[in-house]
Amino acid sequence: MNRYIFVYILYIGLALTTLEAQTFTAKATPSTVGLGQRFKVTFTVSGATQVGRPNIPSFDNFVALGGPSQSQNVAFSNGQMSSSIGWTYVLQPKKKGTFTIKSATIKVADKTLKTDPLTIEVVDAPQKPQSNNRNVNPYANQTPDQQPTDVKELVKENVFAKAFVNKSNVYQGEQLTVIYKIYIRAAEFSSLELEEAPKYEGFWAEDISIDQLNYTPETYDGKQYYSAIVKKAILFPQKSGELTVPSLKLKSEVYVKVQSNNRPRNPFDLFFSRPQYATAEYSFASASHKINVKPLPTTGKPANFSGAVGSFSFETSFDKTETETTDPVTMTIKVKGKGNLKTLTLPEPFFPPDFEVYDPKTSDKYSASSGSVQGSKSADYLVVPMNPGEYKVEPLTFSYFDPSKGRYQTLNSPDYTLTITGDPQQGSTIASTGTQKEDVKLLGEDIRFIKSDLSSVRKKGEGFFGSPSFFLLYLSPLFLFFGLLWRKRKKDEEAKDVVGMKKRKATQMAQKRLATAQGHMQNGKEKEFYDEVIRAIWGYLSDKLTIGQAELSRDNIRELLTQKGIQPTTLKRLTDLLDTCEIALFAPTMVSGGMDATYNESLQFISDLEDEIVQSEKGESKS
Amino acid sequence: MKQYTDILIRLPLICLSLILLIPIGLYAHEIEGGFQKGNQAYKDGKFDDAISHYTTLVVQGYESFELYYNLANAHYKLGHIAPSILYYEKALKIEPSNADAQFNLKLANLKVVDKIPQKPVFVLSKWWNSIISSKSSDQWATWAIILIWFAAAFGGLFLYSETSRMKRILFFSGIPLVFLSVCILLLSIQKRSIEHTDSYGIIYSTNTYIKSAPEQDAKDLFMLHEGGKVKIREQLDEWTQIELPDGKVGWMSSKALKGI
Repeated sequence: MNRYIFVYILYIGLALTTLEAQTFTAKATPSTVGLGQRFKVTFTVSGATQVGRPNIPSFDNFVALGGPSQSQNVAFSNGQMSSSIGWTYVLQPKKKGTFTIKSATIKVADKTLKTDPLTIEVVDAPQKPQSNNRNVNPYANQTPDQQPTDVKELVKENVFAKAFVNKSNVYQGEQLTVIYKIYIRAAEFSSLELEEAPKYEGFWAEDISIDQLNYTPETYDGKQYYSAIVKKAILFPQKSGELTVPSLKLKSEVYVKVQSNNRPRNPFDLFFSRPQYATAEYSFASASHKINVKPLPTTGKPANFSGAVGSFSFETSFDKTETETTDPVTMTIKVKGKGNLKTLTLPEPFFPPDFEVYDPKTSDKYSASSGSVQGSKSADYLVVPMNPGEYKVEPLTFSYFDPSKGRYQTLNSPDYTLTITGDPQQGSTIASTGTQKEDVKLLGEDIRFIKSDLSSVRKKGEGFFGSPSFFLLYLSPLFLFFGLLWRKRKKDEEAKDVVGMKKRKATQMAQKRLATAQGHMQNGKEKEFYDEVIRAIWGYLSDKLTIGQAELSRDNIRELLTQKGIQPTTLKRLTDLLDTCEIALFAPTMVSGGMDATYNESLQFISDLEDEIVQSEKGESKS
Repeated sequence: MKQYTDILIRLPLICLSLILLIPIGLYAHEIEGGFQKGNQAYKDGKFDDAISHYTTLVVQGYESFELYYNLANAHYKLGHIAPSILYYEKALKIEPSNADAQFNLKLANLKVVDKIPQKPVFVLSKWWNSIISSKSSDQWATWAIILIWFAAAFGGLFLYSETSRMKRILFFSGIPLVFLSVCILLLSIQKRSIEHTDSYGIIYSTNTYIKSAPEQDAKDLFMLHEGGKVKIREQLDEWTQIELPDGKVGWMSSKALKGI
């Protein structure tokens, strides 16, 4: 290219010598061109060094392939300095015919300069490559069908595409980068486009946009090429197994330098022959790559693992930790780092039921420009506290798989304590059963009034039950009852004993009395004697028969003695004895036998009666 | 012999008369002044003062239904939910059937956040519970004593009654009385053991986490709020194992709880 610029400058230089200062001209070289041929249009302002941009007309019937390229030239001629600035466009006609390029204008020091319109004649493309004598027509142009067969071969040799992946053995979800590169040597692309966008099946892909092709020299297979990245993408395998990174299919039109078929016409040509160019349409593709995707290990997989693969940091924050009821709090959960940010899920916070939790606002911020997907994913939870108190927010855990280390990592957020003040808002319960109807009725009521008098007061721990006074009070009626019972028994027993004693000692008592009577007899006291004998007999009977002295009478004694089975003769003896004594008391003279006989009879009688009673009692007990 | 018998009979009577001579409100005169000061403050709307008057007496170790009831009322008026519930419960422990305390407790419970559903109870045991909980152990004991005295009186009359008809009437009414008294005594013992073993507590902090084990790092099972009544099952260092009426069990810090 530089070669030709030199020529243009030469032209401009020539022009300058003839033109006066401050002119604006347009020139087409050549003005007659073949279809498909390139030509140049140059707008030149001379005599001015400080100019703005020219107002260039549109090239309606031509395709602008390049330009404007600006050139400046300063020349001295005949001791005069002249300068010129030129703008050059490379154009290609679209169709045959004669076309006009309209005037261009430029402002130079308050003046507007204007070029003359240019007329371009477009004719059929010449049959033969342009000869080398016209250096303004640099590229030989040939239609494909007229191309020599080796042009395609030549293109194939010199143009190809390759795909590079940075890893061929990855974990599921681990990011890998694919780069598609084109290589070219001894040729130029006149056009290059994707034939088909690659379909990354089984991957989630993040394209990295390529603004422009940046050719850099690169040696490949021992040959020098210019290479450029045409497409770059970051891929995240979504399933395990063998996945294919597709090939990139490209369509291009290539100018390729060809060796002239013509034999050199003369020796001069041998030295000055220029390389010739051919244009060729060429479709080519990179190879596809197989990627082995390993499944994530199951050992050591945390329970809360949600598919994050890469390397991340995890943070949570609250906009405030002290607030009032119904005043909302925002909790932010954020994961930062490299990896499959788009597909990972953030851990969800757990709030006590005293909080109303609204759906989170999530945002993804990541870029793939640096060759890997990195950035952050965050979620904002708006929560409204309903009840006062100190609430702990459970620490959250975020787990991811770190492919570089080949194991799972778990990150924990710190504990937070929310301090809520204010009035409780009803309705939050651990197992709400709702307010009952009767409760609602009670809501408007007030508590009942205080008690004004004390009824009973005790010291703490002094319960009545179990106290000594309790036992005393409970057991004393029992004692009382049994005491009464005992006393009654005792009395009864005593009473019984008196009777027995009397009965047992009846004879003894009678003999004692009779002994007293004997004393009276010896003293001659007749009255006392009989009196004593009667008392002895009656006393004996009273004791023996257990009858009170007052109840004694002859009739009931006879009755009782008959009951006891006493012989009637013995009863007759008793009657006689009693009669004798009573008569002796009132009429002592009528008594026969005197005191001695009565004394002996009464002794004998008591002894006999005793025997008879004992015998009859024995008989009774026997029968 | 006769002297001993007399003493045996007279001793219970002497004891009884001594006990009856002691007024039931043994310490009533000691706290009357403080109690009335509290009442006056309450009537004047100075609930803070009322609380301090009543609390002084409580701290000194006096127990009385009216004292607890009035203190609970004063706390309620100031919106202290947990203390008011605690003292209503304490008052009801002394007089389980008091309608005023029951009503006020119900009102106070409306302000508790947690509504814990009751575990369904077998009808018969519900009926039994309602009987046994209607009176305190002391109240049951008093009834047992009254009945045994009646029984003893009937027994005494039985001993000294002359006619067999009278004896029969006294015997067949005295024996059931003894039986009933012993039953009520057993009820009192049962109630006493319930009062001792079934201790309850009121949640004092505004909210507290109930944990699965008695340690700070244990998992949080659920949360309870101020005023909730829980059954205390076990105590271990700083931790108390509690049970809710619906059967949920967990551990909580003992500091957040006050026993009734």
